[in-house]
Amino acid sequence: MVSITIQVELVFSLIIMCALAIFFVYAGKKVMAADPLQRPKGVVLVCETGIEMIYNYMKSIMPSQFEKSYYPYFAMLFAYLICANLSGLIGFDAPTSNYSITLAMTLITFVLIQYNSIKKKGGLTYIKELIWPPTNLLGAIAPLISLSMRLFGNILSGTILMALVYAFTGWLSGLISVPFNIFGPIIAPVLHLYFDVFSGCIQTLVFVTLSSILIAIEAE
Amino acid sequence: MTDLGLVAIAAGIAVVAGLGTGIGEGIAASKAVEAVGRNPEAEGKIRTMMILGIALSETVAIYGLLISILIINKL
Repeated sequence: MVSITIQVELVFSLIIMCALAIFFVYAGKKVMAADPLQRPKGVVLVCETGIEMIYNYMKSIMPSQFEKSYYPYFAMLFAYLICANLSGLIGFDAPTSNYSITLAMTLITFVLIQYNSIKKKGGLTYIKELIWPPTNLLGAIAPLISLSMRLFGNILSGTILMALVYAFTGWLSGLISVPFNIFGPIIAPVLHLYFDVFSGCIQTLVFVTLSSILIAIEAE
Repeated sequence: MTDLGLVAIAAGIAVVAGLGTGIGEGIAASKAVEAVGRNPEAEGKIRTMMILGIALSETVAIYGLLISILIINKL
């Protein structure tokens, strides 16, 4: 019999996706039932503020011909990446600390870049410009590797460093013969603030910005 | 020099990739502060651009850290 190992980060990614889907369905119902002439309040206010922030930011980096097709995709990527990077605080193994998941997201961006390039230049010119001069091939592969490696490396190294900090404080507590880890919750939160919250948010911003700029450059 | 010792030395040398990153990010931050001093109204845009530039050039240091972690795990 074949044995299949399912990696833990995949299960956590599915849990995050289900939670996001339930929240979006609920918020969508509230938005449909809201009166457009009154002031929004509650969930509708939160969603409108978030969408407006992302929309204004995307407008400053991508031309507005992409409004209908690409802005919603990047808003969804933003929401998923923020939840995935911050889920290390709840005790999940962050989904983006698995290279398969970041590679999958970068492959979508890579296919979008090549598709927009072919649509703009036509098939034959695209192949001719890809082959000669030979460094153009590297310039096409480079965003694929660098985007996925950046996200993966930041989140994974944050996770490993926090595990090392907890191991060290555990050993220190053992030295003072306290049966549980007493120094961990005192020293660790500041480091969590940098490695998980700050690094996670900045990396989602960089991923979304870089993807959208690369696509906008190809479609001119 | 045993195998284990050489691997440990390699893992230490791999993190030297952070040297250039530290210098480069320092230069970027100093230019950003200078630009804000010259034009205090554009502070929001300058801050966004600086954060983006710093995160991009931090990639090389993260590559070094990643290689070092991968080497240490093989010990």
